[in-house]
Amino acid sequence: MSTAPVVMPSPATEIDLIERHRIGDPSAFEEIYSQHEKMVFNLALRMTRSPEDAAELTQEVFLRVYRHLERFRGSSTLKTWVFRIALNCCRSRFRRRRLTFREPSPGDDDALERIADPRADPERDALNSGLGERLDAALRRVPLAFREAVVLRDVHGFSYDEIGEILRIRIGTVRSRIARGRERLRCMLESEQ
Amino acid sequence: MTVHVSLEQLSSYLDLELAEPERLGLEHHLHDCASCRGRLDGLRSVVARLERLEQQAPPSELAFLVERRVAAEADRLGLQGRLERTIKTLFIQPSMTPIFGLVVALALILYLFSFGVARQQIRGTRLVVPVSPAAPVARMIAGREFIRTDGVWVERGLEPTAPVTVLELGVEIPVELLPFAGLGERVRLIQDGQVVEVVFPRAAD
Ligand SMILES: [Zn+2]
Repeated sequence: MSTAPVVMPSPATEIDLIERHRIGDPSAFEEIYSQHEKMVFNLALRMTRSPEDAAELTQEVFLRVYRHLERFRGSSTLKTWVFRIALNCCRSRFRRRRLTFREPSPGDDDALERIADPRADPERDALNSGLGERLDAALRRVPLAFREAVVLRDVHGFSYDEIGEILRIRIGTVRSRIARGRERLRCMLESEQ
Repeated sequence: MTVHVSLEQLSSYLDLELAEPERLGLEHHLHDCASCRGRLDGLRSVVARLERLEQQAPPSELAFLVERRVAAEADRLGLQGRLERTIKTLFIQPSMTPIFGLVVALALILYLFSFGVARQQIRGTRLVVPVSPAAPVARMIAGREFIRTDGVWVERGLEPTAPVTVLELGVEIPVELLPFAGLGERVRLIQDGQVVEVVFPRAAD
């Protein structure tokens, strides 16, 4: 399977890709894979703890993409759709591991503000001295709901509307989660200095 | 007491997500308030660092692992689809009583599961698939493993030097061989107890 340089396709190209997949052209899926592999892997990496977990999650994501591709109707972009599947995979993985993640209701965001991510490991994180590693370590301590929003916005460059679509939340909630995630990071990084 | 700008407003301001009047009000406040300016600078630097965060390259074997799982899934879906179509065809015959139809369908299911994959006739099809630049060295298809040797996909266990019958592609290709379709290469496998080689044309052919 190829991992060619990523060029994001136009909606027309995407519909064409899905059509090719429907009529049994296996290279259509390969194209979708190579366009999204790196992004999905990096999203998974920021949502889990290790490259091994992220690689396993990426496999699950693309298996689901393959299963459901025929049902993609083009009401969103393929990238948004793939990311929604990816985040759902991340969440069901957390659920399987009994890490008490659930979709928070609006009132929950305040409660989330006060709890740390149970998977974060400050001692291990302290060993990571590089700038990017420190940021990654801090990210892991941000509650998942805020981390999802911040990673989608600042790492992957989605708009507020797209994030609302991926996470199925209102724009007001998108705005609030991004702000709180960034603020948590700001406090952590500034206290380190 | 001074009323400061909210965290959400500062964060949305960085994303150019504030409406004009709100933005002007915020800029006016920032002009006079060092505390909010400091918080905004802190948020801005967080965003800048996140944007610069390095994207890691996925492990090189990941594409192959995904491909293997997808090929197995395609296989499963293909076989399932064939069965569903066959059963549908049986039940829409008016002369066929439901019980008779059921017995035939069950027999057919057993038959397909025990022999289906190995007994497919290779009929072939026109293929319009680009050649993958980074073809893997091994593939599992329909529970059979193929190794790429000298440009030929050889089913595991076959002697590379065994005599082969080369088959021309006809009208339709068995679904379990579809994953080979884009390769523009030869596949050597056991078909009806015979070692055969199928030549898949390249995309440009
Ligand atoms: Zn202020």
